[in-house]
Amino acid sequence: MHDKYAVYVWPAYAVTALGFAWMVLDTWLRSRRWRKRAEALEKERRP
Amino acid sequence: MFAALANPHRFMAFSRWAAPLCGVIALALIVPGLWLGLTAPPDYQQGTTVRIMFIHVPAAWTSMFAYACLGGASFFSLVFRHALADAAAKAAAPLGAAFTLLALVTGSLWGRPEWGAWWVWDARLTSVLVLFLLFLGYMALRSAIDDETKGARNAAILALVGLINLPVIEFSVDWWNSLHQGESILRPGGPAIAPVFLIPLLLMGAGYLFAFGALWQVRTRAEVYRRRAISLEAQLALA
Repeated sequence: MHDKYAVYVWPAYAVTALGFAWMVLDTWLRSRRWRKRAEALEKERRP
Repeated sequence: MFAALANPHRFMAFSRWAAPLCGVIALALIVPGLWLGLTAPPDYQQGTTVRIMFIHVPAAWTSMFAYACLGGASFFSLVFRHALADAAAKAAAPLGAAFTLLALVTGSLWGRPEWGAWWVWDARLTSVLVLFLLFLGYMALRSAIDDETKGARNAAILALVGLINLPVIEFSVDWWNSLHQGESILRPGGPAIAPVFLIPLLLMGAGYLFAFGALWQVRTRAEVYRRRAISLEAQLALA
């Protein structure tokens, strides 16, 4: 794992980890934001 | 099943448990896939760069699957005017773009030691770059038009036209001379990959697809909530 190809292999895994982190975080934050907004408006409509 | 899920209430009830389940299955596949992939012996020709295959190939498979989902959802949105299908199409695009970018970047990192170049204008690489541009174009077109319905319709047409790129990607290595290796798994005579590489590759491939399934459902749910919020805002403004 520490041979001459490590300089290609580890960055590939790091980029993949970053990509997944972005997808999971953005998806989760987006979902939470709109669910809260919709629920707040629902409450406002039916106090 | 599609007809049943076309109802937003049924979809929300279904995805409430299906999305986390897909996420758990994805983790259960990716963790052993990563372990087996990172502990696999070096390939006799490629050395340890073969380990990039376990993240590159699944990203490429998932990017094509995501575009097929985008195309399918766009078809239902355009022809049957299903609002949920439009939400699903909109939700698939950024995920598909991300998986395509991962396939391109990891492929470049694999290509440099194998081919001696970060990038070549090869048919396979170029058609995957076109796929990435199609995802970006879809998102740009949607956001460029103020009328959301009109933007969605135009973007759906672009998504349907772009479906032609999927067989081009798949068969590019057969139709043209290519540096990229040909079909290694679904080929006459069985897979050309040794089980020690094939098993982690299939685990990772399935894991990526389930991860996409989980994220796609959650993003579609977010879009349903967004539309509900916009509708409620309009109702409250009128009251």
